[in-house]
Amino acid sequence: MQVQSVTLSAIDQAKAGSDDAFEELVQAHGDAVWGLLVARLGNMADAQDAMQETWIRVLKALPRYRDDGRFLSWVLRIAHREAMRVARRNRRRGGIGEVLEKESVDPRPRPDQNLHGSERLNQIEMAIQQLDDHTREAVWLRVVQDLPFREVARILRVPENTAHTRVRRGLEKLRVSLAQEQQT
Amino acid sequence: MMQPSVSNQEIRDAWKTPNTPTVDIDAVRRHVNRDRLRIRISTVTFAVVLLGISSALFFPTGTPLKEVSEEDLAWSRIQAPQLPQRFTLVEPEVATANLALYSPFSTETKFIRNRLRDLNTRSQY
Repeated sequence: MQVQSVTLSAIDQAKAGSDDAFEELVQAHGDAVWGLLVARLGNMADAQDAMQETWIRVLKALPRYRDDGRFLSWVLRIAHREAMRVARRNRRRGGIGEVLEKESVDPRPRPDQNLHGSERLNQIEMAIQQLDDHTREAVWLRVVQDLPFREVARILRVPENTAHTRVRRGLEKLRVSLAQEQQT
Repeated sequence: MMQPSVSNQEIRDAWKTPNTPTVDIDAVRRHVNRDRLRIRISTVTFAVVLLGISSALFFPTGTPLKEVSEEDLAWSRIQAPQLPQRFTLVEPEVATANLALYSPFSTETKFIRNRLRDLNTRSQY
C-alpha cells in the first residue's frame, strides 16, 4: 500500500481550519488508517466505527501536532489508540466484536494471477487471518506499510525490541501455517 | 520439518484490505465543533463560578464598618509609614470602595483589608 505524500501546507492549512486541506489529509492517509484498523480489529463493523472516530480525534488533536515530518506515524498512532479503545470496549461487552462476521474475501484469482499463485496467496491470507490481533497489526505496519521498526514501535507504543519480536513471531507463524497447509 | 519461506512481497500481495470507506468530513467537522463549543461553555461556566467564589471570599458584604477616629489614623500612620498616604488615611467606606479597584491578590488590597480589620478590632477595646 503506497502512502501518498501530503504537502506540509495541507497540514498547516488544516490546522488553520481549512476543510479542503483536512479532506486532502483524509484522502492521502485514509487507506493507511483503514488498513491498520482492519488489521487490528479484524472486522468491518468495528473498523468503520473506529475510522470515523479516528479522524475526529485527528482533527481535534491537529492544533497540537508539532511537525516532525512523520505525520502518517502520528495519524496511525491515533488510529492504533482508537482501535485499542474499540477492542477494550468489545472485551467489556463480552467479545461482540470478535463474533461479528469477518470481512469476506473474494476467493477468485485476480486477473494478473495464475491459479497456482492465487492458491498460494489464499493460503498466505488465511495464515494472516489466523494471527492474533497484536501480531497482525505489527506485521501489517512493518511488511505491508514498510515502516521502519522505530516507527512501528512508536505507533504501537512499545519498545523497539517488542516490535521486532512481534513481527518476527508473526512471520514465523505464517511460515508454520503455510507448512501445515502444504502438508494437508 | 523444512518450513516454506514467505516473502514480504507475497504477504503484501496476499493482504487484502476491503475498500476504504468514505469518511464523512462534514460529520467529523460538526462533531469537533460541537465538542469545542461544549468545552468553551464549560470553561466560561467554570470562570464565572470561580469569580463568584472569589468575590464572596475577597469582597464580603454587609460587614459593619466602624468610624475612623483621629487616633486610628495616627496609629495607622505609625504602623505603616512606608506605605503611600492614600492607603493610610482613607476612611473605611473609601477603603472598601478601593478594594474593588485592585486585584484581590494585590498588595494594596491586602493592606486595605488589614487596615479595615485593625480598625474593627481596635474599636472593640
